[in-house]
Amino acid sequence: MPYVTLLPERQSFELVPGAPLTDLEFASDETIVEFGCRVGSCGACVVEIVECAASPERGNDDERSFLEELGFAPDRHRLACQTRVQADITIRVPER
Amino acid sequence: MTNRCRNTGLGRPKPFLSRPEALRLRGEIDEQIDRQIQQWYAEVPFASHFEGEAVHREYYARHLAETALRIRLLRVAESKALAEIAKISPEAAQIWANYEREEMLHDELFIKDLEKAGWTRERFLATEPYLTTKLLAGFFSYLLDHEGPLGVVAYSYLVEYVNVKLEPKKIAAMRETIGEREIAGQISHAHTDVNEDHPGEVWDAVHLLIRNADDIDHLKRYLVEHQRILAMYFHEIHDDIVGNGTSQKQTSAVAV
Repeated sequence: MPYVTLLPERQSFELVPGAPLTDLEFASDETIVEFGCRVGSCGACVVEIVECAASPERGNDDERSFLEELGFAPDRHRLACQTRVQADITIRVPER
Repeated sequence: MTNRCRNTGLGRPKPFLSRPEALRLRGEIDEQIDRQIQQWYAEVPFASHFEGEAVHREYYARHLAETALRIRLLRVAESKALAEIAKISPEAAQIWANYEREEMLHDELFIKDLEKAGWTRERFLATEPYLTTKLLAGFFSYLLDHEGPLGVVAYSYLVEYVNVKLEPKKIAAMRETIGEREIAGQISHAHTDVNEDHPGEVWDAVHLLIRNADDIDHLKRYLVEHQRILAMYFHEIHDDIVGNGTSQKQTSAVAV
């Protein structure tokens, strides 16, 4: 099963392969990532992909241009609500 | 001879208005809303408050709470609207479902800003919605039961049009008065309305729900009626938080 590790605390959460990162919302009583619309249009859930055991899934063109508009490099960031976890991954929630 | 099924939307008649006709009507409707906005600024207390240089913090927080509560209450009625729309126009139902998909959970965005304003989630959950918000939810139920879904969809067109037009100015002012980090949820909410062209999306549903000339008149009336109820809410919150609480006290007195 893939693990999601959250920096800087290094908390780890086990998800099932292919699970959306929105599953993090129910993995802890505390807020790990702040989700909003959950459909990729509000930009509340930006995460930085720090490390990934496999090539991270690339966002589609809409997501990448929206990330750029928000001031985040689309090669290193994803909208968590649009991301599915296939392998161990380390993420950080950027300061905003 | 036809089967016994009714309210299936299977007949799929051509829309009453062609695309060009619908576009012309939209221009007319937008002009009506622009006039309503002017009236709003002239008559509603604190109408431009969040565009100003200082913010009444208690009013701001209570308004955030009510916005989240309103989203929570209306999404129930708006979900029922989907069934009513599907009985008339499957195409409009598909558009409405997508719109609701994008809007359904936006209460959380406002609650996050509310927490940054110092409220706990427990305090939010213990807060009773204002009577005017309950009346708005009740009006939606009345519309769905007795007039059809056009009135409910008309509400969304009104608020989406106004949001896209006025939110940028309000957000810019609040970045200064409250702080960008503190209003991150509201900024995210505004992103959705603009990125997904919510006024355009809702208008497409309105277009498909207009079935005759009477519906056009009804649409114009709905826009006025929704604004009246929203104005009543702004009077209620202003009286409660900024004024002397007259409306709340009167309600309590009657209840006792």
